[in-house]
Amino acid sequence: MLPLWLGVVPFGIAYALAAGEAGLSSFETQAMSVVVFAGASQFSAAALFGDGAAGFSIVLTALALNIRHVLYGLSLSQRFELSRRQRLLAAHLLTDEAFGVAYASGTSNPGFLFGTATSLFFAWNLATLAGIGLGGVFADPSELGLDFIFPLAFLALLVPLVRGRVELSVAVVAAGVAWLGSQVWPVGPSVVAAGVMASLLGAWLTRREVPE
Amino acid sequence: MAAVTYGSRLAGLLVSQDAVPKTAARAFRFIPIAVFGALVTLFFQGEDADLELRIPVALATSAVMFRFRQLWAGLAAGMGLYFLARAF
Repeated sequence: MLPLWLGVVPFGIAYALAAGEAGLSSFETQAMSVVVFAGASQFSAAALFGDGAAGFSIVLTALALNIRHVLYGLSLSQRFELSRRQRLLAAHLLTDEAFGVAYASGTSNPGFLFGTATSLFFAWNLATLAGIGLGGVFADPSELGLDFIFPLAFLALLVPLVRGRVELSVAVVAAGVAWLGSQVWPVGPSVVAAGVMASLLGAWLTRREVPE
Repeated sequence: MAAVTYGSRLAGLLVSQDAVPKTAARAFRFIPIAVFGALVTLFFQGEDADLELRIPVALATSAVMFRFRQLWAGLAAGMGLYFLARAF
């Protein structure tokens, strides 16, 4: 988890700085990290708020960015046996990184999922708090190249999952659909379209598998 | 905004293991591969994505992950190589 914390912290700080510049108060900035806990949505919301966008636009943008989490939930609900209370809690803490690390661990112990997700929650919120306190001291993480850790993390999580031709086909089709979709749609729907279509391809390619 | 974010996360989690037909269950198995493949693709196609450095580093990271299958090793190797390449 440490590499992911190191990636999350600069962005938490950068979000706090962006939110401050957009006119959000310290309380509002921190509250969004606690209540929403979704980095891309928070950045977008801060930018839209600063531009004077309507609340409806901010909500729609959040929906477009976060709709891929439906797929994460579907996948996790099959891997982890969660009580109703655990599902309600997991829904607050679920992020791309938590999903990736929890799924790639191979365990079906919910404790691993919650440990991963909670650690990221605290890292993100502490970083937000630090950003509120630091003001304009911290440089843009993208200029330092720290934004590269996220695609690298997903690539590092993807490679061990590609065990054969079926998985490779799924990954390639997903990449193609995502690229095509991104020419006309925002990121969120492109990821969902890729996720759904490539997963269905995987189901079709394994239709003759004997169940375990 | 919090409700929309929470709702999209909860929607998938509410589906119980027993309620899922076999075909859907097989499809769900491939969601991580599909979503990670999509996310990596979209990250690498940004306009200022620094691709001439990032693509070779990504390939090297893939090789490290293929060999060692440890997330920390892949990230350490990848980010280390990337910072070295940027320095030169």
